[in-house]
Amino acid sequence: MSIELEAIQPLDSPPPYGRAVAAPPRPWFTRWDNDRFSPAGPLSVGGGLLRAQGAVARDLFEARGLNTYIAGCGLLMVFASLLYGAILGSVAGAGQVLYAAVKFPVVIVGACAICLPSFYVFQALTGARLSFKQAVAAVLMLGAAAGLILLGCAPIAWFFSVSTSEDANDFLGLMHAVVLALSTTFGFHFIARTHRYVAWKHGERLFDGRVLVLWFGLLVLAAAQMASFIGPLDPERGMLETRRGFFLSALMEP
Amino acid sequence: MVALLGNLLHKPELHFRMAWRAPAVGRNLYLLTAGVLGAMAWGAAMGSHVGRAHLWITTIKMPLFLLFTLALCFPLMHITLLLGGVKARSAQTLTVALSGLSTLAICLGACAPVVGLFCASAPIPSMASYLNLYVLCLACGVLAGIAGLRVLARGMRSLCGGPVRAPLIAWALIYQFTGAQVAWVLRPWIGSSYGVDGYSLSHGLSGNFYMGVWAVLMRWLKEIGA
Repeated sequence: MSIELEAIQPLDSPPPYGRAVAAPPRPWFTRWDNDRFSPAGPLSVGGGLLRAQGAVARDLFEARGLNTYIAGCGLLMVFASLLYGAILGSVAGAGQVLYAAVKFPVVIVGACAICLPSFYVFQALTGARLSFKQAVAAVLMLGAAAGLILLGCAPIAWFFSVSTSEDANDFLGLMHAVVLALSTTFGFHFIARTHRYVAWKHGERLFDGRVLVLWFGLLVLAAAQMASFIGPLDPERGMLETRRGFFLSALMEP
Repeated sequence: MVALLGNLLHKPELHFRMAWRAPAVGRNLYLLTAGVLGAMAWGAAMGSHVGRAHLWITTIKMPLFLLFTLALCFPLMHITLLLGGVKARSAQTLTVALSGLSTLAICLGACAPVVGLFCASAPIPSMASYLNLYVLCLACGVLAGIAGLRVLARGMRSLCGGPVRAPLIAWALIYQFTGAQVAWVLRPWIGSSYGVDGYSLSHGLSGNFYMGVWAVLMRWLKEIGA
């Protein structure tokens, strides 16, 4: 009597030689996939960016409700930078509050506007599939996400600004720099995650990752140069007065 | 209120689940009342070192300190929670934050009789006794803070069913960072043993806690010849 043995199949057959093993989805992918959100109007966009980032990412990819997102993110970005600008200005006295509140949004919106063409063109050149409207929405979403963190930090920053004496300007400068860095990083983090989520879900590239990183560096440089040119925190400058010079040399000034 | 506090201390998971399902105003008011009473007891204990006007001023100041810090930190705490993946409404975040804060204040209130005893019986004026009381209060504060965080961690874990370390650490850092400056503005707490009769907040809205710590550190390094 002969017994035929069945060949034992491995539970998970390995992929063909040379092909990478598919990584299991990260927990946040699943979380983002379960997010549901439809913007009721521009003012509800902030809630979507906080609570349902996955839904916002899908809307951006499918170009759904982009006008609402553009309006909402633009409003949020301007409002947050206006409020935080006023707080930044309060360090240099009451007179500077208005100047800084007007000039800081100009710096933020201006830097985004200046960097938008390069974002769209280089993304398009590297094979990313996004329209100009999607590019506008993506840049504004980055700004709005950063603005949300600025809004969250605003009460704490305000309290430190009013309760700290003039001789501690270094501390305040450092604190504001940390807050701005945190908020900008969060904005970039949101866009980078959107890119990874879309790549995972649809197997397509909404952005090119390397171009995104390089472009973000460019945006930071442009914002720093814009701040140096317009000077939202310089109490000696008038509302329309600008100053030429490289931002690094302005940082080195005593 | 007693049942609510019993749940909060004995079965925080149950408390948080009930609070999450129905974050009612009444529940928040009870938590607030318990927190304010605990903080007042702690404030009175600290103020008893100098006594007189300082006693009631510190009694009022302590709950104000905790609540003002919460008010400043709340927007960022709510945003942190949402970004940590916890889909909370602002009322739910408030209930969770008040639960943690009330636990902290209740723990401080529980330590208040002991601290009060030491404060009232310590010699005055004496820099050594002031420093001893300072260390005692700091130790009780750290203990209460850890207890509050533990309750918060258990409660939040039961709500999210996953790791809550990141939002919890963020909450603690945000609250501590801001609270240190609020406490600095509202100083003195234990009270300098010298000339407290003329108590005023004229020093307030000046200076900075972190710059103060930095200055002390530099002075200390200079003293030891580093």
